[in-house]
Amino acid sequence: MMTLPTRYRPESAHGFLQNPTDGAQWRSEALAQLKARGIPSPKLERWRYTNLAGFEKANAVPAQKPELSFNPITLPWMVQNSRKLVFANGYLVFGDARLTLGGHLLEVPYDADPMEKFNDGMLWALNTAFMQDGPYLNLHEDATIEIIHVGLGHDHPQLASPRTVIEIAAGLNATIIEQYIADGAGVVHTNAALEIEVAANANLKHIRIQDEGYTRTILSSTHARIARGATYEHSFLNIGGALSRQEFWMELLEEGAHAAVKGAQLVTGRQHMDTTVLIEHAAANCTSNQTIRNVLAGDAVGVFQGKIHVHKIAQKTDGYQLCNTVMLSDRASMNTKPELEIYADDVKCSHGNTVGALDDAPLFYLRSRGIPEAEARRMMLTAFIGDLFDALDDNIKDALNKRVAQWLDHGIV
Amino acid sequence: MLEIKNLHAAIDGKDILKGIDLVVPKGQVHAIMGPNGSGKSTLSYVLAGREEYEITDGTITLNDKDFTAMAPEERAAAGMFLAFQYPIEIPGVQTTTFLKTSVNAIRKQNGQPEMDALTFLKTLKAKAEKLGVSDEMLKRPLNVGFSGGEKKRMEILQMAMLEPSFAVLDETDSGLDIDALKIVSEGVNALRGPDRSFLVITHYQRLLDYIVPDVVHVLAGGRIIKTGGPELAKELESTGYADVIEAA
Repeated sequence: MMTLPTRYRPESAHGFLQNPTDGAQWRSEALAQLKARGIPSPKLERWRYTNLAGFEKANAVPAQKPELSFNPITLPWMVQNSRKLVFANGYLVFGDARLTLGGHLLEVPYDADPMEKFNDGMLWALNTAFMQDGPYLNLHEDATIEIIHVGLGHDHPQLASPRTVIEIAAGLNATIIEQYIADGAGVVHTNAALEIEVAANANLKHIRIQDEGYTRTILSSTHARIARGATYEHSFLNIGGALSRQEFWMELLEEGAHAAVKGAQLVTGRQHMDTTVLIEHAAANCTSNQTIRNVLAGDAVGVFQGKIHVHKIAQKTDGYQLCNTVMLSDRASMNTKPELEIYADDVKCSHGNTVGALDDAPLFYLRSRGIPEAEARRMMLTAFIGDLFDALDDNIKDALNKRVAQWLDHGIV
Repeated sequence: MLEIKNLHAAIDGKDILKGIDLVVPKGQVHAIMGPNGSGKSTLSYVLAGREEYEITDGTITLNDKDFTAMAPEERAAAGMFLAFQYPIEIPGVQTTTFLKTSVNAIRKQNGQPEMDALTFLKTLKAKAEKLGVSDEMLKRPLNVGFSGGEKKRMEILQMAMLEPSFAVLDETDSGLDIDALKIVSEGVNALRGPDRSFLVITHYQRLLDYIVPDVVHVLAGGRIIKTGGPELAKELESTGYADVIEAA
């Protein structure tokens, strides 16, 4: 089998896929992979609950660089003194997306095959085949960076394929906030790929809000490699997309590394939303945490697949996974699949999963205190999302919680 | 004044209350005693409007308002309060926030302006202090990690904040040691007044030493089978329910 190009890096400090020839070899090899294997079908185990047939039929064409019809200053930025970047349909339209170039940071060899790790990773191949542009953040000093991806709708469906590379040098503290938002009618689908490396003892907080309206297909693959004593904490709030799937592949490569993925999927109407996680404990004394909360209304479908893979060498692993779901409608459905694959003998791994309606007892208790039913429900759902974002800086946490509150007030169909 | 006429109620198709007639005039405290399974807790839930219970016949009116088909929040706004036998833990909802939401929800339904934050906090602090509810408890999620006694004091604090015209105390004494019982009873007695009435539901006479009722009713098999003065409670304590039930 042909090896898919995996670890893309810009070829010069001056251009990230700005010339048609940049990354040409990557694209052509990925395209060959795509042609050979096609879009994943529900026959594949990890694609059982999410069907991309509709996306394939939409026959989207690679997105063109659009004209921006608004001032980037008016976008919903969260942090006053952050470095700000705006991408429209995958193309840089505001800010400097190439923040220092310091070469590769991690010495751990890269030998895994994303085709396998990313669940027959055609999304990865699809992104590589059509990637146009994206942030290359090679950080050598502490920073807070905000990236807003605007999907500008188009008459004929387009496909935006932003490619993000984030490298955090040893010992740094960085925060990266990504927002995916929609603008205008029409359709632009998104298939993002992110390559992240966190070097020894660095700490990366990565926040992603996916709020791209209700008509589009929103796909993403995030690959994080985490070195000795380093921390990668991913917090997400997913609201948008007719169909969405986000995949994570997090590798704990050296001792003392920590990975977390914490977030909420708020799903309503006829939306389909999927979060699929693979955490690999490839070294001893590493910890991981998956905390997922879902609220499903209407005819919505939710999916969470979370796998912890503990390699033989990874003694003293502490892996945690919890997925809680509240169903607001009996027409909605939730599919959850926890998986533990453990080859070491001295590990602590736990997983838990609950699915249910809002409890009657607390609802009645609140109503008996004069709180109207709708408000009592809202209070309970707010409490259910609760502490997910508590570890984040106040302005980020407040922005996320505010968006949750807006959804609870208006989003439930 | 609370008036219950020929009240029949069922849950999951099973009849629990089988024709209750009860009048509690303004300013009075009535006690309902009875053995387990007699329908005491059902009566308290039906009064507060829990939807799992179906009223199959009869009516409930409070201060001339027909409660029979009202939602729980509307009943609360119209002056009904239920102190729960088992107060519910609500993780993620801070106690103070809950109390403020509750107070203002009732004010809003009654066409009153919201209580401003400062007045609310002052009022809360004064009332909490009397009931031995600490600032730390008010900061915690509602009832989460509270002891049995703390939960019951929190119920009485809610009652003190909401100032209902009619309060049902459902086995408020259960799970309380003697000191907690005194604090809770003092809290209730402080709220007694000419415009407020109480229905005190209890299994034991002990509570009625502290909250002295005007009238005592015995509930058995979903009906009130005997009514008397405070001395009836003492009689029950010495003879047990069996004799009274048999005599009825």
